[in-house]
Amino acid sequence: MNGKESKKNAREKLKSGGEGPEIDAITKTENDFFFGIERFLHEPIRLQIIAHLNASEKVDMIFLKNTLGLTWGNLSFHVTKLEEKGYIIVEKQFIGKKPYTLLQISEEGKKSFERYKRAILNFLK
Amino acid sequence: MDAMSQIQKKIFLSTIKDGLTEIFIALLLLIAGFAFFNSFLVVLIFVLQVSWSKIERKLKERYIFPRIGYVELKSTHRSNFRKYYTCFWVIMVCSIISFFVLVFFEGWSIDTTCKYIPLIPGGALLGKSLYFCIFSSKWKYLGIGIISLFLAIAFIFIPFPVGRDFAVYYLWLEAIIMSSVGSIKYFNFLNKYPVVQEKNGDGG
Repeated sequence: MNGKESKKNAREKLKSGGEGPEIDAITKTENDFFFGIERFLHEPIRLQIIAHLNASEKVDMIFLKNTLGLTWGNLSFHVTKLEEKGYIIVEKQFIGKKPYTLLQISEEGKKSFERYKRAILNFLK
Repeated sequence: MDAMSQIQKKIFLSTIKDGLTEIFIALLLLIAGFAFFNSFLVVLIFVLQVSWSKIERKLKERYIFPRIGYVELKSTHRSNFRKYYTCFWVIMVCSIISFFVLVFFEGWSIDTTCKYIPLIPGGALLGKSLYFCIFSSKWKYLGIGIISLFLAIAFIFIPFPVGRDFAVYYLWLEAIIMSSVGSIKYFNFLNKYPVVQEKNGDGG
């Protein structure tokens, strides 16, 4: 398959949402994807965060910092990005007497992660 | 095993590395041993079992979450409980049946009952270790359960003068093993994870 054809196929797949759920045409453009792989999620730290949130119900910042071995600055930067994108829900909650910042994956985040998994498998076929 | 299952198991492992469950089991076994001398303690065992989830939660809020953070396991993870409960009850039923069969063949008396009764807590400990094994896929957790059952069987062949001693010594030995495992895990945990203060924004 030459470059033009593959680009055309990828564009068609994108328009139809690939094999996964439909891609939101208003907020996401073709440039956000590479063969259906969302560039935003392909960033390793964001991918790790979203994968851990997808594998659990709720997780707090300390847990993620310990598990992923990140600095506070790095973690909060990516958490903010994910929250802005609507992929995660961030809430402050008291557990006992101590406040915790709890993170939870949103429905949008779940869809995007599933789509990302499918896209990367398709790409590597 | 796919990546998501591996992450789920990793998250589960991080919730059990504090050793609190082992210390609680040790406490129960210790009290169960003393209950042979004072039957009132059976009530204490029951109360402890019922209130353990609340006590554990309070302990975790105070000593564990400030160190490793808070995590709530996924609800689909709980579906594994069916698998665990099935295995647990199969082991328990086998232990109870073996106990009754052995007591029946040797002739019922307090001494023979006490001689074979370690088979039941031995089975329960094997069942409990299955919980850790199923949810974490780490076979080492099954080791403690197998040792517990093996010890229960070995105790049958040790000629104690008083029948009650079979059960009491078994329970206390198990309590020592479990408390040692739990304490080592807990102190390792304290050393490895200092209390973390959550920072917002542009920390380092």
